Amino acid sequence: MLFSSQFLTIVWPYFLLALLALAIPVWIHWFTRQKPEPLHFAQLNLLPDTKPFARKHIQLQEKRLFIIRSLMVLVSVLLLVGLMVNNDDNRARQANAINLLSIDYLELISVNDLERIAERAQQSSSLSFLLVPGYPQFNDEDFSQLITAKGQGKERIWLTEYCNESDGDDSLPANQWHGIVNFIEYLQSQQAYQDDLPLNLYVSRQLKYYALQLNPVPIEPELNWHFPTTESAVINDGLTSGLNDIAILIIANESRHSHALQLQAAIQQINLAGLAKVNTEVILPSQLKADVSKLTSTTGVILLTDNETPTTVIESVIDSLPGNSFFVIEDAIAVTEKEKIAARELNLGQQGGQFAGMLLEPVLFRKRLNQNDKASAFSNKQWPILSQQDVWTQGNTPLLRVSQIQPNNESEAIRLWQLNSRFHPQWSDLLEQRQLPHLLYFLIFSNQLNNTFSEKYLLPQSWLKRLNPVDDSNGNIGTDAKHKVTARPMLAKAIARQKTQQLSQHQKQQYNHWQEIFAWLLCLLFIAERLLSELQSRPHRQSREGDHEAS
Amino acid sequence: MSTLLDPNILSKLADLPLIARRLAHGLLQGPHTSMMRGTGIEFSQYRAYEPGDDLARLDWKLFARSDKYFIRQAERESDIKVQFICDSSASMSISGKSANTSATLTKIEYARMLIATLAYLAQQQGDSVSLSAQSSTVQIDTSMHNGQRHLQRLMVNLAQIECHGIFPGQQRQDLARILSANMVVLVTDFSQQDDEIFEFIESLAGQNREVIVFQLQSLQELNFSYQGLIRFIDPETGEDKIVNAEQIKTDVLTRQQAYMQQVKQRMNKLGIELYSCIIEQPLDDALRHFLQNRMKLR
Repeated sequence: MLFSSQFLTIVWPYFLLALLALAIPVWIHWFTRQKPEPLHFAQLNLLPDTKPFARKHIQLQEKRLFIIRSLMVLVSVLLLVGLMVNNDDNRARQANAINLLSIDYLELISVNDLERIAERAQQSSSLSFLLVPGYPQFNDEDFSQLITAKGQGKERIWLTEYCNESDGDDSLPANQWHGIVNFIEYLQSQQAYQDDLPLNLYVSRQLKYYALQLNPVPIEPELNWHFPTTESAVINDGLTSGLNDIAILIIANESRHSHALQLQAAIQQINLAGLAKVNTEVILPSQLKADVSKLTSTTGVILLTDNETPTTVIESVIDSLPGNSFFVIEDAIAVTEKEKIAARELNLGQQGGQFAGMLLEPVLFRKRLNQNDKASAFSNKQWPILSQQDVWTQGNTPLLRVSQIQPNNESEAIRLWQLNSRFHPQWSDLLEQRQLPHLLYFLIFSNQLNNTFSEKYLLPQSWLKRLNPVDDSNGNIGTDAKHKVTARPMLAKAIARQKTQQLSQHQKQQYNHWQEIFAWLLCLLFIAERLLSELQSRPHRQSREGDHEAS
Repeated sequence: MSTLLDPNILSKLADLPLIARRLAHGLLQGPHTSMMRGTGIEFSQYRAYEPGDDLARLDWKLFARSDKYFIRQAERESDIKVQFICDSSASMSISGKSANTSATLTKIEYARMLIATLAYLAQQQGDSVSLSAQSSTVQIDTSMHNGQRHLQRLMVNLAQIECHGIFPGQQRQDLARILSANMVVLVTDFSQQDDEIFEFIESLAGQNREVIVFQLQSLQELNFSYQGLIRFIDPETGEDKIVNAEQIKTDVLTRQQAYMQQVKQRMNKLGIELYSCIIEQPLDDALRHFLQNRMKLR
């Protein structure tokens, strides 16, 4: 709604239509012919036949009144539209950046970081939008809770006043779109965004990964990605190898070799996304036996088991891994009835390439970390469990469990990730599709037990088909055209809207200042109009009074 | 002068006899001695002596009896025939402009009150009165009589006068009766097309007949205090002129003065009393001025 140029700012530009009201005094003073007043007069023969010069004469008389009345209308309109002249200070305070703050970023950062961002945003008068990707159920109440938890002072005001603005679109408000799909669509749609202001994206690394994976976003100027500093505890905890040198060992027999390569490729995606640099190496269990020293220099191990994988491998890995590293094994967590497992066994051979993922088939042994579980595959070796948490569950079934175990009293704890790949119906999709790198990223970089894996980031089936077109039942190949994104330039809209709606504190002061000036001017003009009008009508009255006195 | 009656107030009163009585009594009880009562044959009434009364009119016998001074009053006998002629042409419907109120008196209303008052006064002293309203379309004539009932009829006729047309020319049926009157009172605004009023007045003037003319004018007409562009319409002929009032004011006033001068000269030449009345001003003033003049003539 707001119009702003280098010199002027108009808060309600639509009201400029009221300038049409200027036609009223123009019409009255210039286009309305004065109608002669009919009067009875007895002695008409006393009147000379003089051509009256009434119209021109009256117009000249009322010229000043016309100017004042026109000015009154003009000043009223200016008062109405909220015109203000931008001074140098005001111009410097024009918005110079667009901030997109995602809700997951908000969740991950500390209060201090948020305060810093809010302060920077306010100082630079940048426009800020809160993005809510991946949270289908995120509602106003959640938002207010989050703000209450995060914001304490200025940053809370900033969050509530500036970030929670809608672009007024009926279907999908810019800052309240839900889900990762919306976020990506949103970014893709920004091709229409042609603002020269830099676009700062405050998001989690996961979001950036998806954004880059799904489609490069051709936005000019470039997106400035900002990630929460606390997102990856591994990195922050001073991992000796650092971001650029994370070594992951994938142990797999030849029967799982293809899966191992797939994993390797997925991890490569993380590298390509620029989120981290992860070196991977695929080795056979026999190789590990020969050279256990490989484990000492690794950050984490992923073990893909099969029938021939000896249980001793697990033990040796756990014993040899350095502290603060992780170990991912495929497991059937919390399954107590062996028959059920057997009944659900899948034949890899039958699945073929369709499920060429990390499917745990067949499961020959049951691994229990519970010391009391006699059937545990680790019965020969008992490790003290420092803590244990199911970070991803499906109903009552844990799908992903992380445990901190201490191989011996001297060594530091390692994270043991147990991935229950068997009992999740979407699992094959997950591994097959683009979620795998994400899951790996999560497994690798998150060592916080309370940092639960979010299903909210899982892509829906329709999107998976779009990304990986495969033959469907009719033999047709899914194409992008079939699922064309109806991209709307929502950011451009939202920015334009917020630009027009949001007055900075300084601008508000300017607005009030100018409103005051116009109001005074209007009062003065009104007084002048009344005085002049009175002066013009005085001769009439004086003549009447004169008549009385004369009589 | 608290008894002065505002024409605007009078205009709201429909009761013409009441107005006439009120005006007449106001005049009679004023600072001047009564004209209509005084010495005579027929005793009328006593009234208390007031300083300034003629001592010759004191009833000394009554003083001897009551030890109080009384003036003996008697009705004067008179057989004067007074003919009232009211100009009822359309121009008489013009009203004055009041500065502070919207209620204004038209010339015809003013004329009604004036005639009613004078008729009342005349009737009180026993004169015969008659009324004639003159216009080209409607003419009202009453017979020449005296008495209270005749006065009432005259008042009714007076109230029924409506303004239409122009002042009639010489051809009129009632001229003979008018000429039989001893006193003719004409109330007009001197709005004429072709000197017809002058000619009529000239036809009235004659020996043993007193002609009194009241000229009615509004203040606006007198001062030509109109403003702006005005379409002046002659109510008698319907003709109009669009002029700028301020532009022609001087010219009109000059012409008007010349015309008034002409009227006065012609009236003087005929020995006719001319009284100019402003309809926005109290009627009492005009009547008082007229009666004072009459007293001087006596």
